[in-house]
Amino acid sequence: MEAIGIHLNNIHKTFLHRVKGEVKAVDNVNLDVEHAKLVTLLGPSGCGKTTTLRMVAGFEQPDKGTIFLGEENVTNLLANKRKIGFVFQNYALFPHLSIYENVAYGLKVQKIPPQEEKQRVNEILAMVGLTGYEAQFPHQVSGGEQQRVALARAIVIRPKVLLLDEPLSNLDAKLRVHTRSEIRRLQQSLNMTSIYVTHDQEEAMAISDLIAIMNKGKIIQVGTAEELYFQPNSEFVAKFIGKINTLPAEVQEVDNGFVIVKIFNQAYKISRSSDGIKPQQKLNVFIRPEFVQLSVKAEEKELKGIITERVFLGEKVEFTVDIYGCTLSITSYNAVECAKYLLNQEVGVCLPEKELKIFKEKGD
Amino acid sequence: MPAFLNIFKKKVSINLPKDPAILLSIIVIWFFLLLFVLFPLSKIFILTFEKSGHFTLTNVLEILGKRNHLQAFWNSLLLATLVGLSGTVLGFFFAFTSVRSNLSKAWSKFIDGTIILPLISPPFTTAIAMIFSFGRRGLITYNLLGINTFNVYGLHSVLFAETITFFPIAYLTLKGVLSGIDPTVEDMAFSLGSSRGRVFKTITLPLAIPGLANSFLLLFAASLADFATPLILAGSRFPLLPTEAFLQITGLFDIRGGAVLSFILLVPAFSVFVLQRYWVSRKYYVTITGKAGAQTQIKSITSRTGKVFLTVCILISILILYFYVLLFYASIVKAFGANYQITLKHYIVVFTEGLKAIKDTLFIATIGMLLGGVYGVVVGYLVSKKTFISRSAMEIVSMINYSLPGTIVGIAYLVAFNNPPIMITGTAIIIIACYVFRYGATGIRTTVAILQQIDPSIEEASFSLGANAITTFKRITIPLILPGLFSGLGVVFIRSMTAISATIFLISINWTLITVRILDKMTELELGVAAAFSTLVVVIVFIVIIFINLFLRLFRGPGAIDMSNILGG
Amino acid sequence: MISIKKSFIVLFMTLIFSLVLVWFVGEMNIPGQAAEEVNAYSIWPENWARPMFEEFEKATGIHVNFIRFSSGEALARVIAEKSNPQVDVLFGGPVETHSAGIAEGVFEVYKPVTYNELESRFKDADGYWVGIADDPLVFMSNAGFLKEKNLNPPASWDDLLDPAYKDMIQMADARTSGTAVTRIFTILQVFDRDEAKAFEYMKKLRANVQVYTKSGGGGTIPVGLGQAGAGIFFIVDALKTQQEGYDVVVSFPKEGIGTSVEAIALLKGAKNPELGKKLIDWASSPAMQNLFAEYQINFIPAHPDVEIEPSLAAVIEGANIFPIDSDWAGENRKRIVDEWIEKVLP
Repeated sequence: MEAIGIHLNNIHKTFLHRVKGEVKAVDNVNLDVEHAKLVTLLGPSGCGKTTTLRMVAGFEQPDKGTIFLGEENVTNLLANKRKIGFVFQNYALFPHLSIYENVAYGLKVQKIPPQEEKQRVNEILAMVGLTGYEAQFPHQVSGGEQQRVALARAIVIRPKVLLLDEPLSNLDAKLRVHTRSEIRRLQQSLNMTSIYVTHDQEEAMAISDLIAIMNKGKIIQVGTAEELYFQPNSEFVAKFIGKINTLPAEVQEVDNGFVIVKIFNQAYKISRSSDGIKPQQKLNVFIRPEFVQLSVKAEEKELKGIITERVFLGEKVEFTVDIYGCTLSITSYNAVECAKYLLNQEVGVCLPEKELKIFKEKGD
Repeated sequence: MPAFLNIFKKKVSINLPKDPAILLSIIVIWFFLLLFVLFPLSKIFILTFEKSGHFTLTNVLEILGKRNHLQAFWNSLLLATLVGLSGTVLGFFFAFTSVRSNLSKAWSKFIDGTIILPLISPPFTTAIAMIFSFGRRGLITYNLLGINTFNVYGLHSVLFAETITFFPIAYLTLKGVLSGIDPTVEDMAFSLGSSRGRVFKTITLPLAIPGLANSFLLLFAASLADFATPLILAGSRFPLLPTEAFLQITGLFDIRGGAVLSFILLVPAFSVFVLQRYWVSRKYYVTITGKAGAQTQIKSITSRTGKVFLTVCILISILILYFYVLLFYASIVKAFGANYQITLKHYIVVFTEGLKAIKDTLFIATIGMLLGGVYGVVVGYLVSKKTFISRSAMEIVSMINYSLPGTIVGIAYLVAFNNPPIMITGTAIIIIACYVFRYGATGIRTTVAILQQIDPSIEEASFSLGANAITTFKRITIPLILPGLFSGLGVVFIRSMTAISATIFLISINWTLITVRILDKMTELELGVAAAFSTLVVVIVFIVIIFINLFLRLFRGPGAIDMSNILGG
Repeated sequence: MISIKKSFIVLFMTLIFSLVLVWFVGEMNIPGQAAEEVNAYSIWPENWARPMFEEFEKATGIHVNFIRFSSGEALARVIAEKSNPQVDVLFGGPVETHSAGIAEGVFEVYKPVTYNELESRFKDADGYWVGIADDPLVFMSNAGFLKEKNLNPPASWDDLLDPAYKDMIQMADARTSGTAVTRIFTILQVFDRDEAKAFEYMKKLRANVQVYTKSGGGGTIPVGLGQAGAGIFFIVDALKTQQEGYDVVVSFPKEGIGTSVEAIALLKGAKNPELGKKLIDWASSPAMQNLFAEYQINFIPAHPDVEIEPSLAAVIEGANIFPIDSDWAGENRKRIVDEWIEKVLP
């Protein structure tokens, strides 16, 4: 198969909302998906990820910008000429056709000769584990099975790219986990360039080569799961991926390469560029729960807090600590350590400086 | 498409579909709509409001100045209101009994079958039967009860006949509404201690109000437009607008006057259309979930009350059945009222003299059915699936001819197509066009309803797999809406067989219709032959309905939509 | 989805459909094959028009296509179709209809071969129409009703105002029926064209009217059955009822009753004018009118050479029958009918 990348350039799309008036659903989106990679569009409801996907498919037209599939500019091309495979959220199986006929549909449209068609359909059904289901009808099989039919149907036509719109949202949790690996496995074995849309960050992290986080029509950050987790570029991304604590702070000193802030009664030095941050400025400082440390007794450079909640979850314990009226979440994977800290206990809270983050942009 | 995106409308701009097939269909449909809906109507407008070249109201004032016509206007409104009320009440009664009193399947089928009869019969059947029964020498008034002085002509008879004829519309509408009301809602009220009467008053009735309002409007419109029954039963002292318009043209050769009268009829008819579309349909609280007829341990009426209700319903059904038996009997006796010798003479007349009318009617009904079916599906598809500029306009315009009383449409066609540039009076085309653009609209509505139940992503799926609009339509849409298509076909055929109010103006030396022959024969007092023609039409229509039901049952693919109501008003 | 059962059914349906189609096509007239055809609107009821047309076809080989309309409807049609006439001939009907039509310019002048043989009453001076029959109005009552109410058959116009007749009279509606128009003009004549008095009479009469029928003969069967007690009809319709065996009595008012000429005319712009003319020739001659007796059509023939059938002659013996001034009637038809609708009908 030839190397096909997907390239979105300056895509804009506006809708007319019944109440809000003109709403920008997609705002200057630029995205490059390399050949055989799976990129996930991740974001909350209404962020524009599905609209973007549908524009790649050709179900919507962008107001501005261009879309390239490989070398071909498909911006104005009809959906049925783009050679894409689309897996719908609700599967959209044809209710009046058998599973075989559903899967074979795209091949029939291409006028593939019957021998070849049969061979390819059987092959793909085997790949998704549905051999033997050919004569069944959609309403006769389970949700998970329907999902696999939808997948098979999209793949069997050997599309240039595969587009998936929240394909797992209608499945129960366990099935979701199992199926997402199947999808990833299939995508990798077929080297199919794919865009995947979901609002579930765990799902995105599990299967993507790259994740593009979207909010209010814009792409906020693109990166691998690690990059997004450890180096979020904004408050929004930090909060969306994983959990993060927000602490109120006041800037004491700004200099080349670092910023000193005061959080409650402690000072912390954070290395980052000054970026227009000024002294006396009030801002938020962020830190992930697993990096906050507890000590039995508040040391010199530590904040004093009280444990208001303690949840034992097997491999980890989650604490909620109240510090001067502010709530902090702390996750600890160290069983021995955790045993020392009990509910209602006064503790010292240590914030390692290198894990503190300040964001210039909110991202939302 | 995720649900939340439904709140967005497309940006308002010149939105032309890209697919050439779609664009072409839209243009073609508009061409026909302009020609066969808007152009004739405009002629009526012109006739009504124009005199010697400029706009004027004198025509209208002249016509309304005649006492008879003004009286006709008020009478029509009065009658329509009364029929609306009585029909809705009766229909509700039947619907309630049918849905809530645990009828055995046999009774259910019996009632459904009999009360459908008046809806699908040729015109005048109820009227004829009533004259035979309640006239001066009527079977019931004279022979049975010995009453000599009952006047069968007038408001009371028309009201009775129209109620019997139209209440099935209310029945079907309300049956759907009532069975859509989850009976567990009522059960819950019971478990909270409400009495049956209270539950009915406070739960069932309020939920049914939109359905009741809708039924009232439907019946109001049906009565307004009814031409056949009043022609026979209203008598000279109770003029009504459709008949007045007809007489103005056919009797007084005053086409302008007839046009004005039919225009006056347009005003209440249009109000009903607007009310229905913009007020009632917005207020439906209950959706038809497809779990029709959910029957719990129905506690809403005691079994004794249920039996009483059932008996009343059965009695009324028997009354209707009696009318038809009477009709058939009248067709096989020499001269009803005088000579009761059994004879086939009338049928012989039907099949010799009347053969031309039979062939013409069947031919026109068949062609009309095919064209009307296609028209209904295509327009229904365009209007519900594609967004393009003028889409709402197309939807409304396509419903116009259906919503208007037939008299208006007939006169409009007569006026519009009798002179250059387009002269098709005297041909079959004008009659077929009238049927297609009038009754094809039911096909549009059914198609739209079905398509609304089909997820749009199914079509998008087809596109994503490489199929173009035509292939998608052929392979995906059509099979799914096939049930709707068939019922649409059936409706057009049946209505074509039984229509008269529009087409009485359009028959000619070359093409004549059975319904018009029935009227002729009634006028010439050959009631036996009229009855024979009517019986023939009822038989044909019944056969067609059976066929359609058979087809629907056989070809309903898995996952296709259930079509429980093929007549839909 | 392809099952044996379903394919059989589809096959079966297709077969039926094609059979039907073939039948349709087969029945359609292949042009050039049919006999010569002429088209007419007949105001005469089918039962009379049909045999006459069949005889015409026997005699000349020309087939007549016709539809039956009451006179008002026929006239309306013809006027509406003025720019594109659908028929060639307007056959039968009281002459007021034809007179009104002349004013609308729908007829073509044609004097048939018999024109000079006809009395002046039976032809239009300009030649727009000729008479094919004479048709007096009569009173017709139900014998049983009369006996019940102890009445003699009505012998005067005032007899009909008797309260005994309340709600028991049926007569024709002037909007659609020529019988009614003739009747109204008769009444006008009886009152010497004093319109005030004539309309007053008609208003009084209205109280006794059960219903105004669409066609002229619409009330005959009800009277025959006893549903109505009496009515005013053309003699053709009245005698037909009697001949069918209904127990009815025919009578005439002493003040006089009108008779109307049944006419025939050629339409301007007719598509088959020559054939139409042949029909007019035949109808206005003894060739057709001699057949009245044979087919029990109780018209009085217009052509002087045809003898009135004896039993028919007996009925009208001694009756005071006067002709209606058809020109005057034609000129004033619309006005008088409008007035009737306004004053009498409600």
